[in-house]
Amino acid sequence: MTDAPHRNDELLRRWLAGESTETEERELDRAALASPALAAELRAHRRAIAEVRALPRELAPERDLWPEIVRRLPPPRRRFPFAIVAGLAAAAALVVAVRVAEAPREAPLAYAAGDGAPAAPAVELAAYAETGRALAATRDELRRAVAPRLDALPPETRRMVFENLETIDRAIADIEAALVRLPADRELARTYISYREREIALLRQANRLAARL
Amino acid sequence: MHDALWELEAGPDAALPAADLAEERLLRGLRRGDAGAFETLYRRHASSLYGLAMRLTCRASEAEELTQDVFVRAWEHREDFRSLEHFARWLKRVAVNGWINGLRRRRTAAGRPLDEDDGERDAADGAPVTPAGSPGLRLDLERALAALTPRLRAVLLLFDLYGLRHEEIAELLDMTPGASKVQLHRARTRLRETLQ
Repeated sequence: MTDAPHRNDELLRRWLAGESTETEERELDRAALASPALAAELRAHRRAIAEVRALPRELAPERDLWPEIVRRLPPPRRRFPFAIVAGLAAAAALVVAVRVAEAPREAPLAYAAGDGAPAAPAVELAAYAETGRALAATRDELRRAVAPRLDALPPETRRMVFENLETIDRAIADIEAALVRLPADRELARTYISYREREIALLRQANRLAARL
Repeated sequence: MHDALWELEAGPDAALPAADLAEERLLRGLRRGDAGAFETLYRRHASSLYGLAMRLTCRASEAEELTQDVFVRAWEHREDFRSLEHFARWLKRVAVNGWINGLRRRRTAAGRPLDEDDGERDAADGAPVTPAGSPGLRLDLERALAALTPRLRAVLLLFDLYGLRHEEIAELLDMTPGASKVQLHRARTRLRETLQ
């Protein structure tokens, strides 16, 4: 019994340090039954800890932090040009794979890139939107036309179609990421539109091929 | 981009439940630099990350800055995430590290090392600011937490609120597990004293 206060102190110390075993915690509870002072101290600690544990983990920021985050996103890294190169290579590979003699259409959908091309960001954004709508329409067209006959495509061609589209997709995503950072960059905008066109052209080629089968 | 094509293509995704498929697409979008996917993830995790940042810093302006820093770094590391769970864990880890490093820089500049624990709150932190308009929060508890030294507060919150083990806390805060236990003991004792 003479060692009990020392033992209780040690049990409480270990419990407060978060290193008690279950056995020690039960021993501490038993000791508290025999010691009102220890029981009161333990209750006060548990109440405080319970309050901490009841705190909400989630708090909404008082203002939207996203615009500032977007503003701070770093410019594209060196992998960006490589992705474009990969997209070009993929486009070439697809043309060979599907054996379509027709060259991809070069006329831009949104605006002709040249000396007369508008530089205002708002106009360029409108061009993106127009291209995006054209792409969406082509996708819908492809889905309707190709879906029922997809299994008839030669497996290798089918695989290449999807792989190449995915590669171009990644390049487009890189350009979009760069545009988040540099929305008024005219060269980037031209590249973006060019790749959108390439994707549309590839989708159309795949559609034509499926229609022949 | 070509969701319709993905739906048509029979691949590994085809066997995944819809929720997992959506998560996988989100992760794939993030990895390839899709700003839309990144914004979706920001919207999903902003409150939990800001909550952690607010608990650590006790100041809205610092919590906002820390939250922004972490998401900017997440974008820079977007290709490294293996899963959305990994992404969520990474955010918290980088938030704690970023906060500790910032604190360390400020204290070093002031000629006062971070490890110094003299029982007084760091004056450089300024007056604690509790999250306004947070229903259910006890202001005295918030003040008691803010009155702890940063390191004590971090150990207490990571252990009692976020359920981390001493080994995890030690790794995050660059200390030994034994030191984490000592700090938790001290933090709990001071918190109880302040609340009495």
